[in-house]
Amino acid sequence: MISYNKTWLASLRVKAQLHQELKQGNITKEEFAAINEKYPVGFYTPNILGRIGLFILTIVIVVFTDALLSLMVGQSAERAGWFCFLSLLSYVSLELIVHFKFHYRSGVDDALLVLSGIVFTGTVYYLIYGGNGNTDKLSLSEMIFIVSLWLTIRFNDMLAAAFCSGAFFAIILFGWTRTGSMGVETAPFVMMFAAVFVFLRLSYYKNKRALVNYQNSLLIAQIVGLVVFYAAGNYYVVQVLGDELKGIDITTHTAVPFGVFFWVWTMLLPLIYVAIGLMRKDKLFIRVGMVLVAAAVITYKNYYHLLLVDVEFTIAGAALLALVYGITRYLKTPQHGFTKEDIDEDIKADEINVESVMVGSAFTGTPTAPADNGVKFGGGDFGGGGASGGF
Amino acid sequence: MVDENLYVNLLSEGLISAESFEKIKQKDAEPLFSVHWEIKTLLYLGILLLTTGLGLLVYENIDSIGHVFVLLFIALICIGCFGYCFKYKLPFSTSKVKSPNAAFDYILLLAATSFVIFTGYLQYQYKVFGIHYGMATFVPMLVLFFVAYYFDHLGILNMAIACLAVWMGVTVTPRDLLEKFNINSSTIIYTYLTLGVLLIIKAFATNYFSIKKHFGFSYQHYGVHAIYISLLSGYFHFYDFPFALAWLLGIGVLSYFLYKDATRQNSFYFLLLIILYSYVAISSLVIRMFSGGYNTGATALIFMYFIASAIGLVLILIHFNKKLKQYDQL
Repeated sequence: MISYNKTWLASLRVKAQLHQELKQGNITKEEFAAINEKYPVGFYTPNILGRIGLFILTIVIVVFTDALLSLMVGQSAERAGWFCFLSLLSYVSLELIVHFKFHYRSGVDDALLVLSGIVFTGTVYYLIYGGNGNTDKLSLSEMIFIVSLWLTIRFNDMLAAAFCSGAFFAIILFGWTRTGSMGVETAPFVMMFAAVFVFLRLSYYKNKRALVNYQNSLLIAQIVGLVVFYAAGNYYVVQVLGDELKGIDITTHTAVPFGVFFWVWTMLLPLIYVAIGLMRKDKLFIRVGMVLVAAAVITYKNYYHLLLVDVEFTIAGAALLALVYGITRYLKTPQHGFTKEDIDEDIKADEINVESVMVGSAFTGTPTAPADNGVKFGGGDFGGGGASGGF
Repeated sequence: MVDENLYVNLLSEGLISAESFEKIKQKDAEPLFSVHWEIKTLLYLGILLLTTGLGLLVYENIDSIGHVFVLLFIALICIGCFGYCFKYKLPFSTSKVKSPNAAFDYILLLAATSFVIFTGYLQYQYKVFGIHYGMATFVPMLVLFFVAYYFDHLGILNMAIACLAVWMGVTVTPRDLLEKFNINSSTIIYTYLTLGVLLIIKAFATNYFSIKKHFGFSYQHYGVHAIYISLLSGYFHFYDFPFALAWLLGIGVLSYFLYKDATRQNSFYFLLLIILYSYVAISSLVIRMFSGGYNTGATALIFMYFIASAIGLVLILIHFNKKLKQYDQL
């Protein structure tokens, strides 16, 4: 079902794996070059700069072509059906570009996919349900789900996969809460079960040979599943979403039933994710867990204030640095299969030096010293990067 | 998920040697799991939180701490870090010098940053340079350039270039360009133009004399942006004057020379910049030609121009990308 040439996709996988081995020094450059010859790939895939350039240009082309065509047909261009036609035009060109020009992640296919997907979903929804002014969230989610599922199946696109899995959970949420107040009360638990179910199914499908071309999309769906599982029990989400679904003003902050349970869930689950990740040596759990720890802290800060902000920051920063120091000391030599070294160190000669450019833009506004305005310290004297973070 | 028998097959086909096969097997038998990224993230977050927290603490309590103490503290950090760097640095060379250990680069960065903060603070609180703001930025700039070359640090070189731009009365990084750049003043345009030319000359000199050749990219990166943006803003600023076209002519000449250089260096990045900036220039000229009378015909022509030219650009980009790709691998 995937649009791209399957043999070439398989060759790409082999090459990616062997490139890893090359970087780790397990095979020689000559061996890698020989394998490169043996597994030809006919895709057109430029580097990231080319991809961005082609993405922008493709959007320019599509927008101006659509504008020119609309200019030609005149009045009828104001109907939703016309936009639907235009999006189908983009989709057909996407299929043609992939099929005949072998574009793969080239920027051209990305742009066409995004444009046709968004415009098509929007116009079809408008054609079927539109006109009466209020949005029907359930049918919109269904629409998004169907379109993005199709795009995921055809192109294994990660953005489409993210939309697809998000829409799937939205359908369950909106569908279940439609059953009345009982539905709203039980929604968190239903969402938890749905997330666990989805995650376990995905883990099973990930090892299926038939789905070997969809690893990226499955991974994205797994991430969404883990996040939804957490969000379903996050105190803030439960409170705000519950109030909204019950039609209560969000600012009233009504107490959540089983509040203790949800607080425990909010604070402990991220740590459990990290622990699972460390035990199973699974990057997915570790990284999602780390992000969710931050979410837990922000949730907590939203309700309670322990100390002054500056004291909190100082203590938290010192604690983190101590933790890092501890880990680095512990992992001086690899322990239990963990290492602190970057085993995939990849240094290319002619690539732009991203780090240096970023440092450059973080340290501007250096001492221009706007002498006589009364404010202490002025704006960015500490070098921009740190002092103004959005906490 | 990759075929388990992949390496066995590769071995039997003679694509990898028995030695490499053993290495891979050994690695798979006792896999190492890297938490490098995680540690780095925590480290970055920790430093961010700690410095923000301390900064806020000092800011709130400046009356009881006193400026002298704060200055002294910053100076101590600066001296300590520079002391460390002087002690452990590898000998100077005009080519690339590796840093002696992983922490070295960060400590040097901290030293340079604290030096800049120190001079800024001194000027802000005590007006050491009086109203000579030029001197207040000139001194840190010299020090930064010296440190960048002496210890071979790209990040500090970028800071030094930014400082040079500040000294010349403008800021040079892309972020500030979008936020603050005021295109209405001709003085700024000329200053910017001079800066761009200077940086480009410096980039060529760096390559020609082979002094820290890897610094060439930074000079050229900032120089190219500065010079193109000033030429374009010059054109729009003097839009109604007859000699406005001279600015576009300047872009044409510049693009030609940079194109020659980019193909020699096989740099797709600079090629992309040249193409995009030249495209903006040409398009503004085309729109100017077509927008004489406002009617549907002219609008349709402009639409067609954009469709055709964008398709043309796509083909050009694909062409160059394929052409340069053969140098890209390995």
